[in-house]
Amino acid sequence: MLPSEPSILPEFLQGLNPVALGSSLIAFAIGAGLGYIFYIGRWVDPVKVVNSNIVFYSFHKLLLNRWYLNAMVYWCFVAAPLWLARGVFRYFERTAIDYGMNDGFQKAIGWSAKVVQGTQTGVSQSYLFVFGAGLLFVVLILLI
Amino acid sequence: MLEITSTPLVIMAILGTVGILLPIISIVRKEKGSNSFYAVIAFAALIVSMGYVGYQFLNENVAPAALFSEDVIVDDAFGGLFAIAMLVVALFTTVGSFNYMRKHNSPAVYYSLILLATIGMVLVAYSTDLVMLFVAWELMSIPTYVLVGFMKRNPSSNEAALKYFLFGALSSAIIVYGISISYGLTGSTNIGEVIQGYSTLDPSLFPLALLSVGMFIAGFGFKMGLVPFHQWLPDTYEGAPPPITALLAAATKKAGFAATIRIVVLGMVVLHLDWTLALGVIAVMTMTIGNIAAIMQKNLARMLAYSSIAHAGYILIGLAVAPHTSLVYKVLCIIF
Repeated sequence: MLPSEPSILPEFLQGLNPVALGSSLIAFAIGAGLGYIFYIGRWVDPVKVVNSNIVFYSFHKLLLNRWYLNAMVYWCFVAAPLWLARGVFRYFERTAIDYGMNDGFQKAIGWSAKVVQGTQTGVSQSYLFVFGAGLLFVVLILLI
Repeated sequence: MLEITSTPLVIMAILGTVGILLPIISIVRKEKGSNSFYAVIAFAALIVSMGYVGYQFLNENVAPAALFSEDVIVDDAFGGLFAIAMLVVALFTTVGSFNYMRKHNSPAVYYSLILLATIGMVLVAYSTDLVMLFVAWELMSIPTYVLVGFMKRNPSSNEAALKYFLFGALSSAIIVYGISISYGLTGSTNIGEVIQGYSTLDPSLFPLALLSVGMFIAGFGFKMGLVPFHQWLPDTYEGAPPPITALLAAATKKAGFAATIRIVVLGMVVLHLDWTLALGVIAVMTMTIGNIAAIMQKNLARMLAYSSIAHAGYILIGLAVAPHTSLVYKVLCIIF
C-alpha cells in the first residue's frame, strides 16, 4: 500500500476533499457576501443593479422565472415521449400490429383455411389422387 | 415360444371370448334392448384385461423394453404401455356409448365390435412379425368400418363408413405391398430379421427398401391421420357415431404410431436414412394443415377431426426429434 500524502488540512478535517471544501466555502462566502451587501447592509439597491445592464437583467430573469426547467421537463418528459408514442402507435401498432399482424395474419390464415378446406372436396377420387401424390412425396423426402 | 399366460394371449382370450359371446347372448335372449347389460359385460372385460396388463407389469413378467423375437408377438413393455393406452380408450368409449346406445338398436353387436377392434389394436402393439401385424391391423380396422357405419339409416354415417373402408382398404393394400417388398429383399417377415436384413442390404436394392419404408409410412400414416393421407378423416369423423369418433381419434391412431415406431423408425435407423427430416417435414405439414383447417371450421366434429390431425403431428414431431437429444424429446412429450 502506498503511503498517503500529508494533508494540508488540520487534523479534525482529515478525510475531507480540500478542493470540495475550498469551493464550498468560496461559494458560501460569495452568497453570504452578496446577501449581506444587498439585503442586510443595503449598501447597494439590488433592483438598480439588475436593471443597470442587459446581462444582469437577463441573468436575473433566467434565475427568477426558471422557465428553462419547465421547458426542459416538458420537452424531455412530455413532448418527446408523446412524439415517440404517437410514432409507435401510428407506424408500429396501427400499421404493423393492427393492419399487418392482426388483419394480415387473420386474412392469411382465413385464406389458407379456405385453400385447405377447398382441397377437402368430399370426392373420393380426389382424395385418392392426394394419397398417391403423398406416397410419392414421402419417398422423395426419404431420398433427400 | 410365447407362454399361454403372456399378456397379449390372455387379453385376446378375454376380449375375444366376450366379444364373440355378446352377440350370441343377444340372440339367445331374443331381446333388442338391455343396453346396460351388454355395456357392463364389455366394461368388465376391459377392466379385467387392464388389470391383467397391470398385474404382468407389477410381477415383472414383461420384458422391460421394445424387443424383437422369433415369435409373431412378444410380451414386452412397449406393447404393454400401448395396450394400457388402448384399453383405457376402449373403456372410455364403452362408458361414453352407454347413453348413446340407449337410442339405438343392436347394443350387443356394437360392444362386441369395440372389443374385437381393441384386440386388433393391442395385437398391433405386440406384433413382431409383419404378417401378424397386418392381421392385427385388419382385426382392428374391419370392426371399426362397421362401427363407423353403425347408424345404417343415416346417409352421412354410410358415406363416412364407405370412405373409411375405401381408404382403409387402400392403406392395407399399400402395407401389404410394403411387406411383400421387404420380404422379397430380406426373405423374412419377422420385423427383427427384416431390419437386420436391411442393414446388410446390397446398395443396388436400396431404392426398393426405401420404397417399402415409404409404403409403411403411407399405410400407417393413413390411420394416424398424417398429411397428406388425412383427407378421409374429417368426412369419417363427421359421419361416425360420436363415441366411435373418439375411438378412432384416440385408439386406432395410437395403433398406427405403435406400428410406426416398431417398423418405420427402426427400419430407417438401419437404412441410415435421415428420418428426422422426413418425419419432421410430415409432422410440420400435419400440424400446420390440421390447425389451419380447424380454425375456420363451423362444424364441431370436423373441427375436432382437424384438431386430431394436428395432434398426430405433435406426436410425430416427438419421434422426429428423438435421436437429437433426450431432453428435447422429453420436453416436447410433456408439452404435447
